[in-house]
Amino acid sequence: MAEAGRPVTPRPVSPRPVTRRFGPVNWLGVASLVRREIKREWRFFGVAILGPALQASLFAAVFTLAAGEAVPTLGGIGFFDFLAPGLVMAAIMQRAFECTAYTLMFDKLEAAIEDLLSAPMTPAEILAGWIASAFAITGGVGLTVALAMALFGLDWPAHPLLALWFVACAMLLFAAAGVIAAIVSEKWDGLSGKETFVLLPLIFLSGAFFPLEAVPDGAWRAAFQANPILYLIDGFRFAMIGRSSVDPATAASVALVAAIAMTAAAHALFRSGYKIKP
Amino acid sequence: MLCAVMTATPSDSPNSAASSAPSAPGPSAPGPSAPGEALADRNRPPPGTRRRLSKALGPRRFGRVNWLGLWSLYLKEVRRFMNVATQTVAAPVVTTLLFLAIFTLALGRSVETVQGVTFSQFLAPGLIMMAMVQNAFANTSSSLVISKIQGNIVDVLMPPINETEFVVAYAAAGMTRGLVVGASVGIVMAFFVTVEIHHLWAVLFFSTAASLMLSSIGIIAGIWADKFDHMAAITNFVITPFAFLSGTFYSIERLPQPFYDIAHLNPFFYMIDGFRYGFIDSSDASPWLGVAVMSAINIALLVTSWMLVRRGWKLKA
Repeated sequence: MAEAGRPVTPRPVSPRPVTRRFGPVNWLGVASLVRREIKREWRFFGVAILGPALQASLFAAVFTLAAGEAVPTLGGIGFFDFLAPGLVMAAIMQRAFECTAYTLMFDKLEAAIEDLLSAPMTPAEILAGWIASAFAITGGVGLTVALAMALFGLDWPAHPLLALWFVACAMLLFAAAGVIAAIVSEKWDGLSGKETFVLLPLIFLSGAFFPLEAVPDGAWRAAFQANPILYLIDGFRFAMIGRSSVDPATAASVALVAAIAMTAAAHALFRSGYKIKP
Repeated sequence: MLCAVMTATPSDSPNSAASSAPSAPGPSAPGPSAPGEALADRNRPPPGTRRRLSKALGPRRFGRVNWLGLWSLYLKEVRRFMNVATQTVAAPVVTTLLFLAIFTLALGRSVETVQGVTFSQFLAPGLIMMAMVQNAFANTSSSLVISKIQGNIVDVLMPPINETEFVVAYAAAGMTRGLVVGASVGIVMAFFVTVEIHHLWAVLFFSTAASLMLSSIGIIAGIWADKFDHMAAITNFVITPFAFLSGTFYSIERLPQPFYDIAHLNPFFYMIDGFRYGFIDSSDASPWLGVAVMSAINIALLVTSWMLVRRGWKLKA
């Protein structure tokens, strides 16, 4: 946003295109893109990194206060133990989506995307740069939220590697979804509409805050079970506290398949130049 | 008197503004001046000449209150959010329903009653109030910050709208957004939860007073903030915590001792508690105390924002 006032100076175009003077992957290009995205995010440090931690703490506080003594367990798991992994995961998902979506949307509307498109980078490299920076930023967010939850009493994960697996899948899935949402949206309104009316309901109604058993049996529960985010969150919950309502192996595979499918879709869409290239 | 304003052509204003800049005492007749000069003078008003400025503009050609200006500014602010009603009205409705869903699903079966009603009946008024305060605040603060950053705030400062009319128009528009959002959330929520109104006066008073309070805070915050970041920081670190921790989701009886007393110093607690009293006929504190607290705070905030606009702090060069 802060760059709004700066005019975009077109770079001089070399008179004739030359062949790529580097190997199969433009590592320098990807690294530069990642560095730019992280620098960009760093300026909003307070709101971008601390905001989610504060929000998760607020949720933890109000849930715990509202539950009081009446709710010792949710789905057979201690109330806070159930809630905390959900809060961490919800924060990671939302931030991963925003990282790529806001960047791409801003660049698209300010026509700064031209700089990126004219750089000697393939769509896959650009996409990799965006996703890698989303990983770095969201990793910071996830860590601060997890630390905040640790203050409330979240334990060290039961299966740390499995936890990382689910975190990585969630980041990939939502960073790719952010790219798709930003490409498809015409304006900021459209993007925030997708965030409010699609992303938020999917995250909120995914078992982050309540167990699947609380949903009335039948069509409703079937609908909830069809939500892939449920597997990400419940799998992560298993990795953190060693118990959950879905089978961890199923959850891990659903998470991977969903993440790869979304990334492939984002790549195909970005590569086609839909709504980005004239 | 409305005709007088309407017949004043736009070309009148630069000339009269120009004539006012040289510190001519008393109401002098606006002399002809070059348009370029008028522009230059408009950009740098000499310091400390505010009072003389308005005198030199000549007598106002409408009564004590510029009703047309007030109404136009109010309408502009209302249309600003109604144009994007999906974002400003529908989005809060969806978010609030999601909150209702997750809290009811997570706690509804175990927490049977709070203050003698079911948990969702207890929760609904708090959620309506939360949506109202967040949106009333967002309306005035975002409008002012965007105007300041884009520079079109001069369009509001230049016309013959005085500080009172400025504050009233903005605060009323923010209040309107709060009430529109509150009514929409309430209507949609009534499909899912039993919403009974026991004391209509309390519902009306506390919704109006709360929206007005947050829209005045929004004016002050909007004047203070220089960037969107500042605004996001206030929303994230001040407004949301207050809206969350003031008894929206739980009865403050649950709070351990030091916090229970602190909660009684929190104005957000009185608005939520009083508003809920209108729905469930039971409250933590006396609703009349709430009326007194809300009235006093509203007056204080309106006077503060009036003084800030009058001084032109961070608004005028």
